[in-house]
Amino acid sequence: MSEQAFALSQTRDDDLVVVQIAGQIDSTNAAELGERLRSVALDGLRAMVLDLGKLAYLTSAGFRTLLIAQDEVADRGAALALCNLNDTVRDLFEMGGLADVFEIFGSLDEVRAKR
Amino acid sequence: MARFDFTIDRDTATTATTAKIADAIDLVAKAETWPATLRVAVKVSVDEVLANLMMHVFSAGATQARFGLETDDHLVRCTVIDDGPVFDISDNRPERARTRQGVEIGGRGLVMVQRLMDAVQFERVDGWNRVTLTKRRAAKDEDKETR
Repeated sequence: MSEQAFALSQTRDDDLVVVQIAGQIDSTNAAELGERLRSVALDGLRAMVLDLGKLAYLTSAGFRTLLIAQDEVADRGAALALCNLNDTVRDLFEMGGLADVFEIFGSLDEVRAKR
Repeated sequence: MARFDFTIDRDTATTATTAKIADAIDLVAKAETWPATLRVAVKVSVDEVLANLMMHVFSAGATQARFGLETDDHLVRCTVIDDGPVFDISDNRPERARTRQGVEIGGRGLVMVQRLMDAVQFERVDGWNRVTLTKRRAAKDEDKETR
């Protein structure tokens, strides 16, 4: 199996949906990630939280997907938040100039407390 | 020391081509026990250059490209050459779509490559564009393999 795959799992947490993304997001699979996020049901929920704790890295194609998802989630009446970024992924967000563009939380507990 | 080359033909290139090259990089990274920071820097940078090749360089007229990777005890060097028209980095700033917050959706790839690699060189050699990415290897005990 190619190592370029990512895995996505989701859990409902009160009025949040938590989507855990593991693996790596690059130009070969960023479009698929966008489709998978579009298919996450958001009816009546406050936010989609992307848990990136098991994400090894993402490229600019992944950033493009997340930026588009941010608007699309807002169009569906919810907010997009990110949590559990490891140091590598956080550094990539800073390199991409996106550390202040997304709502980024240290943990899921922090999301629950602050949102 | 490792070395491999891929020929990339415009008419058959897909994201599967990029994935195949990424897998080949992973094989070298594992065989040489690259630290995670080196693996991420090389894989992200190569993905950016290949995505640019697939999305822009081939549509600008290139028909063929070649990707090469070579390593020694001190360096990892990746080279991408293409037979397209002269690449002018200063002219590579198209108007880009923005999010509702006004954030540009694209345009981060080259900036990230320049931050991740130690050297990024653009040249025109014998009618080919050549992009060379170089990353120094840290001393073996400076970083730990994390995968």
